[in-house]
Amino acid sequence: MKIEFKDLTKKFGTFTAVDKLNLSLESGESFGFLGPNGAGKTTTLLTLLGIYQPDSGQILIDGQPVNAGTRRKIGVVAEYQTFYDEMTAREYLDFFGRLYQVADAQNKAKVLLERLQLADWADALIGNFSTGMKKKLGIVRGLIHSPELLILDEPVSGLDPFGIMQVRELIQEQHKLGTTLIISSHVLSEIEKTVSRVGIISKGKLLKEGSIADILGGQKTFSQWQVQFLEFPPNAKAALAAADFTLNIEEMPEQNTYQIQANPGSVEGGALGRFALQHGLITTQLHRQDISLEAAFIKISEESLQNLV
Amino acid sequence: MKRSFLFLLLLLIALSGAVPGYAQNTEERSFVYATNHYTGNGYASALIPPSVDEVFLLSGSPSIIAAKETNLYYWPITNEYKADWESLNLNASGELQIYQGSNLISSVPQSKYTLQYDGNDPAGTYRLFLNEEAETAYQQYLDRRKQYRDDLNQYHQLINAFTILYQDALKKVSEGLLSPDQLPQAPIAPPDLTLFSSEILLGYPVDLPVGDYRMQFRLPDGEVQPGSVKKLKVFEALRVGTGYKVADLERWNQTEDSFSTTETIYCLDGHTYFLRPFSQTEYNQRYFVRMNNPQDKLSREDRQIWVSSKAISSADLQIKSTANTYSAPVEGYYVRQILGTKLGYEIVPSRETEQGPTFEAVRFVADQGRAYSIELTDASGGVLPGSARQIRCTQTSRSPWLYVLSSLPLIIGLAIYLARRAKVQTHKPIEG
Amino acid sequence: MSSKKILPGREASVIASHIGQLTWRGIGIFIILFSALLTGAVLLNNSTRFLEKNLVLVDKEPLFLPIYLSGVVLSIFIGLLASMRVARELDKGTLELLFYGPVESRQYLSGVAIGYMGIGLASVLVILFWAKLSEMLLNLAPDAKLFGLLLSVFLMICAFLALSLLIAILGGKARNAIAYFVLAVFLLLSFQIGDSLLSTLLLGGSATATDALSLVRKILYSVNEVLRWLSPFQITFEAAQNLNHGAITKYLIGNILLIAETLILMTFAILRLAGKGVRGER
Repeated sequence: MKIEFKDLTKKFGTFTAVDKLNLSLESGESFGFLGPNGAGKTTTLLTLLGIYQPDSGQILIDGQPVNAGTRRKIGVVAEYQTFYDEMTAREYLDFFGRLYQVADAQNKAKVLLERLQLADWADALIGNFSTGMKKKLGIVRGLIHSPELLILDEPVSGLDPFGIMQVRELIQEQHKLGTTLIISSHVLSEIEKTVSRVGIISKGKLLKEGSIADILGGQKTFSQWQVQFLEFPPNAKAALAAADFTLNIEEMPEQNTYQIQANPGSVEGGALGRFALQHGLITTQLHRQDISLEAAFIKISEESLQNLV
Repeated sequence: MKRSFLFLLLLLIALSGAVPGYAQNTEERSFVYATNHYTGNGYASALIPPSVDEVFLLSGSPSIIAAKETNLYYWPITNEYKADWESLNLNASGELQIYQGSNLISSVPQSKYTLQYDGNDPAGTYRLFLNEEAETAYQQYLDRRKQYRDDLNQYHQLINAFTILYQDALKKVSEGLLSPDQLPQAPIAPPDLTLFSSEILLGYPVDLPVGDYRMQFRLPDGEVQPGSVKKLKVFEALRVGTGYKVADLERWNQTEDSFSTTETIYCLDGHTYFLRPFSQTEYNQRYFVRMNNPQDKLSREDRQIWVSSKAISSADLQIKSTANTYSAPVEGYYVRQILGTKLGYEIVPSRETEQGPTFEAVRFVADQGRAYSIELTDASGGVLPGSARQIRCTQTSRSPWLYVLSSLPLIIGLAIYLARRAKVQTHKPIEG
Repeated sequence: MSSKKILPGREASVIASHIGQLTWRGIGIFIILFSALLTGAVLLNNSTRFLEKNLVLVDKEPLFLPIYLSGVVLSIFIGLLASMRVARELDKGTLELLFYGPVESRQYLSGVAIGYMGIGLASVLVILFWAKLSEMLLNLAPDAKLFGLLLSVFLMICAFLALSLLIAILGGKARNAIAYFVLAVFLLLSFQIGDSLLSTLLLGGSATATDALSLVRKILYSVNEVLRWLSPFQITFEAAQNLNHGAITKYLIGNILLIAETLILMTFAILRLAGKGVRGER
């Protein structure tokens, strides 16, 4: 599904939320929207979904303006999701399956619920679901009709590390099947992991867009992991320092934490957890920060601000 | 602030309306029309104040429209204008002109008229006499009244004489000088005067075919009396029918009226009822009510009204139920007072007594849980129009079951709710 | 415009069945049905008590008033249910989620309306069933006009439902929608009852009378003259009376008026939601 934003402008009164945005996404591409709160990311996506009408410019999906037909091919996972609490997960997915005219919605729902380990709760009332379970259910709903375009707004917020991994794998699978991806997230590492191209948006303007390599330019990149343990293990430093992926390691005993710098993509959260477990260490939290993309984002934003001043 | 201002404004408007309302209680000399109109059964009178712009009359017999000057006052209790005829009752001179469209179809000159009612007439209707006939009829009434008074005087003289003779004869009987057979016979009282008549009055007789007209009052100087132009609608009966006054034996003098064939008469099991049939005529509700009360505001043009005319004393009621079919005649019943019994009276056919009937009706006993179809037939077996009704014996003792029936959805809803609770997982998953 | 664009289509039917499922799974609709039938039962019981006291009763159709008032109760509560559902969906954001997909305001509101009309129809059938059982229970005269009355009651439910949906869209938030809804019901019923009460109190009446009560009545009368053509309760009451008096043409006109009102109010609601959007105006 090819998407074109042409001089898209959306105003709310005197406030310009999106300002002459031009962007083109090829079919099957994965694109990340970066930007601080109020930058215009959500407004752009809601205009793409037809919730807002543009004041000027247009959005074309496969050369067509947005309509009910095009929206049928889009899957959406919003950051803050709302559900019919009085329905069970199965009933809820059945409703959306019928709405999107999915032929084998029940089987699809069953497979997706199993993938995200929600199958046991298929007949539970959604009102009783935890935040993470609701997030996963929202993702299943977004995928139930095998969309050609998947829009994800903060797809992993509220999920535990294992859940993040499950969801990321599912999204990547969808992408491999040809689904175009648009991800909007504050978690820059997530963007970096999932998309091939990013756009940085601030104050409604698209400041820069291109491949992650283009955006980074010559900047040195590394991933910074914060690994928290149940109790601080002083003897773990040697084992972690000896690992292939470790570039540097720092101790933070007050927080029962080691801070590890690693090559980007050299290690996943799950692999790091398993590595610690092999060495008899129980992790309570794993947090990754991609220093490179974040730094580039801040730099581009600052430059842009200076230009505006 | 804005709301309280609005409220104050409304209050002021209401009060400002109230003040002239009381001020209007003073009398005001006005030109009015008054009618002595034909009602289908007789004649009735009505006042048409200036605020009423349409006059309704029934076709078939002449009605009288009088042009008057009187003192009008507003009576807030009934929200109506009333005439103080005692203080002023002047007949206006001139002629009543009636137009249909723009054509003057009649200029009615002022006529003398009188209305008479003969109580001996079984139809019990009024009669209207016009001009010379009115004078003749009124003179005949005066003559008959004079004759009646003379007869009555003579009777009083005879009865006085008879009383003296009778007392004297009684004395002689007690002394054995006269046998009781020889007591004098009392004089016979003259028959009651059943004829009643109005005086000779002045008015404008109108007898028009059904239609819409306009009327105005032209004064002798050729001018049209201000405020005299009114619309005039002449209407006719829609159909005739048969109604029933229904009373239970236990409350014989409290009747429920049934006018329409679509109505059902609901009875109680085992009770005895008296159905008193009467002839009736149906009219347009607005036309008929406004004819009798021109200031009425509630009647509707899209509704009909049944007006009873006279009791039916000779007919048979055909009663059909799933069990049997039988016929019962309309006959006279006499209500005999009996002290010390539960009801204090008994109702017997008047033919079994020496008394005339108190009312004429069909006696009917309601069997348990039955439904009946009834209709009246005349001597030739023909069904009287609009006499068909349904009678149902209602099972009032079962009415508490209505509440049980009403509770069924609640029971079903509760069952569905509990079934769903059993089906879905209602416990919360463990967080983490 | 093609027929595809006019007709709400498959999405509306999915939403309608969704509304149906959500409603019939809850206990609320059964409480509403119970309240409506209870209203009818109380009124019918009053008639039987009158008969026991008076020993005879002449009535065209003792079930007419109970059924009409049951219908009014149904209209109010089904309208409230619908209004709350839409206002809550707007409030909570579940509606926005539907609009991300193939659903548009026309399809959504048509679906909701069809869903609740289905519930209304089922409720009317329950009333019919109750009425027929009551007829047999008390040995009342069966009357084919009952079907005509129930048709008008169903159309009254539809028209009031459309009004409720418009109120929900105008109110936006659930709290506002409730306030507007209560106000609308209060106005519609109070003018209808107020006018008839005052008409009964003040017999007759002159067009030129200017005392205070007459003025109040004139205001009520004037408002009621307008409401006669607008209020679904009033239109249905008139239609029921016309049916009872055999004025079939006027009865049919009343029904057509209810259908027209439903369509007009639904169109307003759809246009308003389309103009306002699910995120409201900023």
